[in-house]
Amino acid sequence: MFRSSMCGRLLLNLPLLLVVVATAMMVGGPGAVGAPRDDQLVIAFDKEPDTLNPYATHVLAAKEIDVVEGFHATNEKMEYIPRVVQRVPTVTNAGLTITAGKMTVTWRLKPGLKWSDGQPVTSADAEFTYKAMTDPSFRVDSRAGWPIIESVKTPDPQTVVVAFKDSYAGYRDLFRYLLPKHMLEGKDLNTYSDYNRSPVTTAPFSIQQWLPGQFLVTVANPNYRGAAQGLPHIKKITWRFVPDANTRINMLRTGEAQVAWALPFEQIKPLQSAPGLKVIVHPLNAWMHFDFNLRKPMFQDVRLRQAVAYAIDKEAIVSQVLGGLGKPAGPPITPLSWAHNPNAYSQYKYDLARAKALVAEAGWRPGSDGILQKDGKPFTFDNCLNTGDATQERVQQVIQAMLRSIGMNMEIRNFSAVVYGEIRFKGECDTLFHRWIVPATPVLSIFYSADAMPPNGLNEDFYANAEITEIIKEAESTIDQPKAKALFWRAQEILARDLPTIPIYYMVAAQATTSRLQGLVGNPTNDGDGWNIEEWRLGP
Amino acid sequence: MVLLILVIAAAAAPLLARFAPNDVDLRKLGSAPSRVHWFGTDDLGRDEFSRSLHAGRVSLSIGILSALVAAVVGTTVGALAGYYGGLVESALMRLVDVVLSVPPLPLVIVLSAVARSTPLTLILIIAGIGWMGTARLVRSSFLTIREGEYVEAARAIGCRSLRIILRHALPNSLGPVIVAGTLAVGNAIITESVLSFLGVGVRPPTATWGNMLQNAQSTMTTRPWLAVFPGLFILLSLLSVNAVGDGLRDALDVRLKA
Repeated sequence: MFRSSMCGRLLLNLPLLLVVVATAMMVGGPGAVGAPRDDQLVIAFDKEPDTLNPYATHVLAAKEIDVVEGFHATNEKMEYIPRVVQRVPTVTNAGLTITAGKMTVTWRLKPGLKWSDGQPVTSADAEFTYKAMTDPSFRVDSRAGWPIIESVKTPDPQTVVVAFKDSYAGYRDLFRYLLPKHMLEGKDLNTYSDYNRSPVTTAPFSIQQWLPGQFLVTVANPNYRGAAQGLPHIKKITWRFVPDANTRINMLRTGEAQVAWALPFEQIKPLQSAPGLKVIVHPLNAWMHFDFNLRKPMFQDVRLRQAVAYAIDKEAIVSQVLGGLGKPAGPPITPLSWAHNPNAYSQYKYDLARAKALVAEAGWRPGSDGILQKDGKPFTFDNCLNTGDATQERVQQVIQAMLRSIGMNMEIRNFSAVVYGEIRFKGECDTLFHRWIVPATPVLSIFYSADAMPPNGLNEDFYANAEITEIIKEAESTIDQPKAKALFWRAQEILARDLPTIPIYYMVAAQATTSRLQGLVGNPTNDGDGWNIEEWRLGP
Repeated sequence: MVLLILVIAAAAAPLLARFAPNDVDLRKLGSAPSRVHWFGTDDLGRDEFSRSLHAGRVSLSIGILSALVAAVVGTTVGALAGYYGGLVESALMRLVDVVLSVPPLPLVIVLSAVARSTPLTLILIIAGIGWMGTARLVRSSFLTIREGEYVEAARAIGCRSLRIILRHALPNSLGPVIVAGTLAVGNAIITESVLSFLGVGVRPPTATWGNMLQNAQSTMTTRPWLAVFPGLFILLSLLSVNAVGDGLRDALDVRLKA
């Protein structure tokens, strides 16, 4: 309350505002009020959440500010770690059994857990979460995986036994958030704002105040399971909503904030040398890729797709255009994943002579203007990208120049987000330059299965291959990791052979903080960089 | 004079520039101005001098042509509405209000989905979202002019409406039109880069002053020359278009002759 009335006064009183800001700058304190304290943090956050019910939104804010959690999360190495459960169930620790093709997973909750309002956490909450997620009236962002569950049983308050209709390797991504039954039972989850704006939680932080359009304040949850060990170290965090990246960085520079969330790529290098600041660059489980639309006639001949692969100098793109921030890509599973096949796509080393030979083999000859021709038709195609990311647009133009050097005329046709989504799903572009970010459990089916063409999935290559569709399906339902790995490796080899897509580079993300902040390491998946927020500290 | 130099430089760009405007050179990313690259190179190693000149061709022609189209359309609508009054005026001015009330960005986004962008569509789009101001200006000055004694006199001796509009009323309201028109040139150059962002503008790698300026935003602190040169060109061409506008008004405005 103090803060909001203060804000009202600040708006009315400009001289006072200047004095306060100046004072804040001098002491480098957190925010415009109060003396600097090492257990409080102001974070200039890039967005405002729409709802804090994490199942109901694709905005990751609730996860990022760490006011919700569930059975597991993934850490900075993409390993699954237990949250409210004692351990991650696997075949080895007997938490997972398969009989006659059906999988049963048993989770045991940590003892003595309490919700932030003091109520006990029990297996009934998990059962309630399952019921909510399979209730068609609850408008969720994604129900992926939930329909595979056959039943959820709760033999005692500590134990959750989930029987699946099939085997399903993505089981650890279910129950990522636990919903509190005692608060939500009988309520309409779509509109119940008591929860959606201030969820009762088991996470390190809970909501103290949310002023729409301004900021959100989270405070240490007194019933957090680590409270006895002093976790979280930071006791109060103010998340200021600042969509403009330059403003976020200025707030960090002036000491008004200690973290400038989601540092844009172009700002990484300039800020790395700034005194008193620290830039944390970490790999993302994401990659930019050049996609062929196989419904169009242009690239039906695989030799032309290969020529494109040989003509794009990924090493130069990463070292020069990206300044070394990222990695030249191989297959469409990143090196962060156990399923990554380093051999797949390794045949496509930058080789202009090879590219030209393949093009000639396919019957295309350079015309007088240097553009390839066949039967009097020039080799012209378009490439679409979502506008707004300067780095991606820059790389796209480099690719354009590289393809021009083997005589291919790539026309750039970029669109703002709404139109772009529409156009690529309709398959109107010859090629795309696009980004995928995926969870820790490897996934290929939504991108490359024959049955995943839009609107049923994200197979925007319109790539139809019965063999790989089968292999991917089997790989994704195989629990035994070595077996699954062999299948994924095979799938990546087929993709490299058929080339519906050419991954260009594996991406990184960055956060900028005061050099006093310790513990922020980032997270490659959409668990978000706040995943270990309870361990953050402000040093001297 | 300056405008003439700019136009000639842009027209003769291929002769003046040592490098092709779209040649990417990854070994020379963002080098500062030097004897080889007079204006330095951009973040893809392309010669900034060559790009600036070639961009001038696109930006100047789009800017001037779309301002011209907007001025002609606006003046016609405004003149008809202002001279005839009554039903004609109501109909035309309500049309202006309707067009003004449509927010341009969503409109352009829709257009980008249906139309393939060509220089002609681009000029028409920019003119299409910019002619209303001129129409209002011309109408208001016509409202006063049509009550003027010399107009009454012309009507009394039997001049036809078209002759009165062209010979008597229009020259008297040219001042504001020219000012609005010259300002529109600058607007059009910037609008073009916004349209490129939405997918209907000039496509990369073709350089325009607008898109060069826009791309330079993220590197403003590290490579200022990327923003300075296109910015300078826009400034110079605006100043000189304004000067030309002033000159034109002096030459054409009948009131100043008296």
